[in-house]
Amino acid sequence: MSTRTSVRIADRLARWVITGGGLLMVGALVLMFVLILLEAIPLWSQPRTKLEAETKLEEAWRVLAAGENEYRELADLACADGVVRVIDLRTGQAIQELRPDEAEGLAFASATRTLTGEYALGLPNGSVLLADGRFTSTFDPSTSARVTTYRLSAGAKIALDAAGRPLTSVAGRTRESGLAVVAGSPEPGVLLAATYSEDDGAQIYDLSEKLAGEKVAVIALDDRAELLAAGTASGKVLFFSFLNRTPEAVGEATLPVSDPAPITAARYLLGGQTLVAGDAKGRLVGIQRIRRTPDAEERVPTVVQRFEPQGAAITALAASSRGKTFLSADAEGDLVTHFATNERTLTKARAAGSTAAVAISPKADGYLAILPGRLASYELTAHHPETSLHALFGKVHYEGYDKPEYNWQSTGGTDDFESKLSLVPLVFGTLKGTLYAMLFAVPVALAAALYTSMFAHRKVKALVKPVVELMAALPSVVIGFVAGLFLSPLIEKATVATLLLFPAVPVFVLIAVALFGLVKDETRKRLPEGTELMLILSVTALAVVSCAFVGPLVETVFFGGDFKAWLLTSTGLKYDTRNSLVISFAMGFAVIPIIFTISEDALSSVPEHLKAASLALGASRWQTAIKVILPTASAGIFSAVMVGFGRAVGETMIVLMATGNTPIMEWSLFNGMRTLAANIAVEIPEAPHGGTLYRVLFLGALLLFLLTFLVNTAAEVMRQRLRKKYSVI
Amino acid sequence: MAAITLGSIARPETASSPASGVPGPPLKDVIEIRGLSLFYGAKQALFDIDVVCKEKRVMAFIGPSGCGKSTLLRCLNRMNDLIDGVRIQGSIKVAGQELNSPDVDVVDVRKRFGMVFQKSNPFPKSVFENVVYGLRIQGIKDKRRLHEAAERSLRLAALWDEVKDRLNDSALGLSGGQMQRLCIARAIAVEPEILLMDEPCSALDPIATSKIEELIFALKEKFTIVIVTHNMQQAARVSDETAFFMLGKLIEVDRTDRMFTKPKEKLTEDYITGRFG
Repeated sequence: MSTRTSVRIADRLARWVITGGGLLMVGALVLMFVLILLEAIPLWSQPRTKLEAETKLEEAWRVLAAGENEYRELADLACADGVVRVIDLRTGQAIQELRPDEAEGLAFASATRTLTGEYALGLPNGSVLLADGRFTSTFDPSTSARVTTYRLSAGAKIALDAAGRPLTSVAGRTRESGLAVVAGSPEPGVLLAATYSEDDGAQIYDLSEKLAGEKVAVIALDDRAELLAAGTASGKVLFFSFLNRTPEAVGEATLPVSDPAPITAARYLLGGQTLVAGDAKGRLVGIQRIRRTPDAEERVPTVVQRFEPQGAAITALAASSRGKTFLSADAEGDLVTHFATNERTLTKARAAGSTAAVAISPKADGYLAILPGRLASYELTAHHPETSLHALFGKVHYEGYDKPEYNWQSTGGTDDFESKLSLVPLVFGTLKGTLYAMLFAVPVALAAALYTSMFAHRKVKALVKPVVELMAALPSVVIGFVAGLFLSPLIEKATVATLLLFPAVPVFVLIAVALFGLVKDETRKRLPEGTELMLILSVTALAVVSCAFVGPLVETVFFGGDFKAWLLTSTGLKYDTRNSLVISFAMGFAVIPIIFTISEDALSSVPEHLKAASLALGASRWQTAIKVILPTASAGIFSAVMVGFGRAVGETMIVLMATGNTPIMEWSLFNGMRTLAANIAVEIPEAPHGGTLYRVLFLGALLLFLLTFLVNTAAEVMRQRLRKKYSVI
Repeated sequence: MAAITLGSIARPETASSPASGVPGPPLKDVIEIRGLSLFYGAKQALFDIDVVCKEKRVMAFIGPSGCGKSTLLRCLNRMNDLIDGVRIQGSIKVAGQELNSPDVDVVDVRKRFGMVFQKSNPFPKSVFENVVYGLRIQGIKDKRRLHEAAERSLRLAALWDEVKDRLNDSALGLSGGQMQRLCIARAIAVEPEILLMDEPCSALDPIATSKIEELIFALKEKFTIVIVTHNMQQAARVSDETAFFMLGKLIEVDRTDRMFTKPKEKLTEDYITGRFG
């Protein structure tokens, strides 16, 4: 008799559906991986640069400083003939020639331009003129075109050198408060500085004495006009602070080289914390003022970054107003862009001839170089200069920090903020949270599973299992909410009592068990089933209550009445309200049902005949559980723990709500942490699509994916081996 | 019993039994079951059973399915304790000691019995670890002692020659018959007084079955054996005495040769002649 057609069709259909479903599953997983990967890959796109246009410049102009507008259409050049010219980069024509009245028709001896376009012009009579240049773009509806105008408004003019010598180097800036700070040097051994405000007029300071014989080669002033750096002919950089108006010398830094050469260029980067200095042998360093020891008062200028050296003397430096990108140009015409934070070289371009001045466009999408007789305009494509393997996974010396650190701080309150994108604290936080949760959950869940499957009465088991499984159905946002808003203040109030619980509960239970053992067997047998469970529960409750009472007492006697203060003074650990202790409870609560239910199933599915064989040989139930049931169920228990681990690693809402999300790297139980998953949840709504942060978050997701994948693969291999070893016929 | 040469078996020096063949003192009653009734909740499964098993004799429990013979066997080492709602009345004495009295520890009771189950149930451990399991849980750690016991038991179970080279391999790699003999070796390694066998051959092929039967024949020199079997020929071949049960009642108990030739009860005769079952 042949098989009926309907049976055959159903059979085939089932096969197709099952195969299709499985393939779809694998496909979806692969697709997810690919999608995440595609978002993260552009982080490693190589920055590019390309010469866009060259414009001829007249020899007589001699450009001293340059700038560019944000659309990269116009450039403003301070020329030595006393004119600020606006060049249309598309046509190469000078469209505006501006002679500030205050310059009285004098030529410029020197000039520097700040990131915002303010010129400090050194005049031949020893005066400094500040002039704020600004591009303004408006949209003209009648022609549907953008109209850009340039205005140069003169600011303070300070007669810096009483001797009237021309200033060979100059720097200056007007603070938002209206106070102008300028500095200049008419000859190498002389450094003059001045502050000027409308109310107080000009205050001139002669800093020459503080040079201690050094010859000033270049000077640089930071964005806030608070710090003045002077590079000298002997390869040193001297620092002066204007914080208290009267300049003070605040230390010096020497390039860490065996053959010092004169400093030939210096420039503060955005934010005014890092000074980039280049010398006559093409070496480039980043100098920050840091505290050498954690409790030192003074900040000492220190070389913290070393950039790829160039082949000839550094002649010009330009900083970006978008980040820590800067451009260095040398006497041979090499134009190199760097990213300061991670010491990364972004792009290299070669133009013939010595570069007199450079400027990075406001959007950091291009730069200008003033070369002999011409102006070269380059395009720069560097979407993610902040990221490099070292920045993501290594220690980086960030601005304002005293040593290289792992740090995650993606955004800040100001535009000149330096994003800190180390994934290490997040991986650390993920593992820390998981570890503490597992430390709490695994023993509890496994003991519960062992009790339920081996020792509990049938009726108890019928009640306990579904109730625990119901715990798993609780949304993690609810657990996180309860943990963050109810549990953590409670634990903060009763920290000592909570900590006492860990030894107290087992001790109380053991004592109760020992006492219960004294009860006569006969009496014990007459007790209703489940009595032992009730007993344990009430003993546990008793332990909790006694801890609540004893806790404050212990706190008074041993910790001087305030555990948190004691913790801080004697161990230096800070107590955060939302900490790992809370997480171990809350995430443990989420993980326990999973580990419990899977391992209980594994234990219960150990064949009855093995249990019977062991018991018949005179083994006690406990011996049977440990020697036969546990090893036989080990594969299942192992996967239970691993599934729980996976859940804890990927858990988002609980850690998000109950950890405080502080990306610190401390194992302390009383600190919070920030996990990869919570980090994505917190930051992705505010990460601009396609931006560096956005992609780094996807990289975090990829890392999480790989972490889970690796752990699960290792677990599966282990599980298969255990299963083979303890397979049952 | 041609297949086994008992002469080669290393006898423990502590053996209290008289050497085989030598007429000893009159046989003692090792197990004495008196007025035993068993209830699964409200349902009565055994009715007022009286059976006596003699030292170093094989007692076979036979009867149709569900007659209570396995239940009775499991009463002996109190394996029924594992089942919820079981209630027992009456008395079971082993060497004069009451098993069901409240001050008797069930673990101690079980140590006096070795049990072989219908389905062979080696632990997922090595052959060696299976055999010494009972000793290990008694806390014996001395390697030499464990090895001696393992070899003795395996020889006694006629398995030594087959497994001596793979004592550390998994027991689950053995054949069905070998596994069952391993279970027997495991049961006798703890030197019990009584060996309980619950249909030990029902899952085995005829060749393996005959090996086990020969083994039972040899083992009765050392142990009192109670065997539950479906197979009347087996009962006739291996046992000295037979008890026939039906619907939880003991119908007849007698010497095997008499039982199979001249049964007193009509029901017994009907059953052993194959009129029902």
